[in-house]
Amino acid sequence: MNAKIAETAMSTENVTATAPSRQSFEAERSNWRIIILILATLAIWIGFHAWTGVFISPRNLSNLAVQAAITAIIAAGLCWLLVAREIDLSVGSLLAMCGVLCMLLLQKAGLDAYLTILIVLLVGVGVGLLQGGLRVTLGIPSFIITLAGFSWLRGLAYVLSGAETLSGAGDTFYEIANGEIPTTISLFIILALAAIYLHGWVRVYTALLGPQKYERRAVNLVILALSLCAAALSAWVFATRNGIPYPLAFLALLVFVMEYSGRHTRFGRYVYAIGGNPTSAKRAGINVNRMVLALFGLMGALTAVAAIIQTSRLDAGPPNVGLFVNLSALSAAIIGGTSLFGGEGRVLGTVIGALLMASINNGLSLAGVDTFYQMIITGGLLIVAVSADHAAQRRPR
Amino acid sequence: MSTSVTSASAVSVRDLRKNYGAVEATRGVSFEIFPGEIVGLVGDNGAGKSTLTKMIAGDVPPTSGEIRIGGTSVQSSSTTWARDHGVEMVYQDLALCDNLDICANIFLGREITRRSVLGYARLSHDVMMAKAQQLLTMLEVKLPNLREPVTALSGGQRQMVAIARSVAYEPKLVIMDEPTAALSVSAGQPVLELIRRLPQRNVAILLISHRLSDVLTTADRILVLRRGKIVAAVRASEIDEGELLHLMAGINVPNED
Ligand SMILES: Nc1ncnc2c1ncn2[C@@H]1O[C@H](COP(=O)(O)OP(=O)(O)O)[C@@H](O)[C@H]1O
Ligand SMILES: [Mg+2]
Repeated sequence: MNAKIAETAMSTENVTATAPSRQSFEAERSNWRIIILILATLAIWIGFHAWTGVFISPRNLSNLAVQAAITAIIAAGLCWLLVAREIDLSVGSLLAMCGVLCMLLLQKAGLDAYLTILIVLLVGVGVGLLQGGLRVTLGIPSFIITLAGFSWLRGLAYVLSGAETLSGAGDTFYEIANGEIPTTISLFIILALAAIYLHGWVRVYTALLGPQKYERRAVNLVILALSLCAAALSAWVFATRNGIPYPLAFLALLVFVMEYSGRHTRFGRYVYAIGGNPTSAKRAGINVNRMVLALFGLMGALTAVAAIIQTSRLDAGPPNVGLFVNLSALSAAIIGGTSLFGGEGRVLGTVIGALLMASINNGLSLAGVDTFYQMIITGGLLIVAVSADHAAQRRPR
Repeated sequence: MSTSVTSASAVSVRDLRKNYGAVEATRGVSFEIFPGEIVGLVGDNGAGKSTLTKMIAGDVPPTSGEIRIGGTSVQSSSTTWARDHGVEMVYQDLALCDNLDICANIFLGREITRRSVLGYARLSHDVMMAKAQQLLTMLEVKLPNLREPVTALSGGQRQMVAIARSVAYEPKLVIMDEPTAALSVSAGQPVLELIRRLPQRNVAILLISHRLSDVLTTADRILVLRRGKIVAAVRASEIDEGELLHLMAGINVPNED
């Protein structure tokens, strides 16, 4: 079929003459949003550092990264579900169930870490596909299907564990969340990524020097500056003391893959198309049901990954873990600019939203402020973020 | 209509019937549309227009009768089959994804990709962009930046994007179900002008509209559907709005000439 349009279009004129810009206005707007989020996070860091004196240190930032990663991994999956007009309220319960399962497999069944990981991943995907399958075959809103999951998965976590917390996951499993890529390799990775990025940027920027609007150049300059800061900061945090923690490496890879495929693959484009208008997506020949099913499968897989990291970090699988993960992942997505009504939202923004929230909690803990105040502040933050968003959208573009 | 021209028709339907329980939505409809022809389809509410178009588009299976697309007989009803065989639909609304840009909407579901080094199919943004630009130039449709999300467009512009999309892959037949119904009369004019330019691309068009003046000025021929049957097939130049209304309502028109 592509051949047909090729005949009509290619034959007439030179294709490259139009020199189209790569970024849509929409992407540019979300870039600004992400920049503002990053700056807000940095401001919070500086504020807490002034308050506590220990916030910005390799040790704390490394710790913070792993803390944020668990929520962020879940929030990333949730982001795409929300973009496609779906939701998952069962993630916290699945997290606990998978954690319990990890410990059972390791201790009671005596499996090794790798087999345990494989089985837990499969169970996560299976639960995701089950919920997605119910969603598309019965046509029941995912809100309800996963509200049921919120309950039955938590129940299952308690039943499987006998309401007891098994601990002691073994050395290999413990390494998952507590181990790091060796310092020299970490440094190499950070420098290599920075070099690749800089090279790509120079190429794009030379192309942009043409008839681009001023604002777009500004966006690119700010992104460049922030990226270089991030590289310097990571080099300091992850190459002076310990290396890059495995959970953070996974999260970084995940963000890259999801951001990339959101922009450059059919799958990613269809996630957004479905969120924009499910009817027209369907009419355009997109198999909406299969997409939704795949997104729930992905959500299950990512929740399982988060559960593995969580279990390894705690070195235990308590059945009551992650009671608030639904809400913190949802908050991260919303603070990161994901719309509850679908069609809008990016994984990068969502992950930074998770980092921002984790930073506040971490900072308040360092400052010795009670958890209850942390909850109040998170609530206030949500309202501030969303109203700032509303104000920004009313502004003419 | 003789049988010798059947193979040349873009679409031909013969004795098409659709029953919904006891309701006979269409009762033996037959017609042909040829490439480069605009055929208007008019009829009162419940006459069976939507049912007829849905059968051709593969959305609902006919109870009996035959549909041929470009000479190929339709065996099973499927919108995918119909689209793959050159039947496109333009809807009154709900046609575009607001959050995607114009280019992405034009290629939605049929994105052009190329194999990347790692073996996955990567969207060819630049190629799609250039082709979208050329398509719109050929159709003489002027739009702002194709990277802009379609929310920024007016209703008429959005419908023109939908029409451009429908002809992007050189279909045999484009069915337009009330393409201007959601637009004001003035906003509908450029859309109708675009539709009039389409036959140059050798595509057959079935145009449904309750605005009879639009059909009269845009279509070459007009089919009048009444209670599931075609009661008249006339050249648009040989009929006026009053006569059409009479035919639709089933009142005998006094012979004026
Ligand atoms: N899905 C359906 N189930 C039952 N009856 C239907 C259905 N769709 C259409 N009909 C009936 O078929 C007849 C023709 O409807 P339709 O094709 O929608 O007409 P039009 O588009 O010309 O207004 C009407 O009597 C309508 O009530
Ligand atoms: Mg109708």
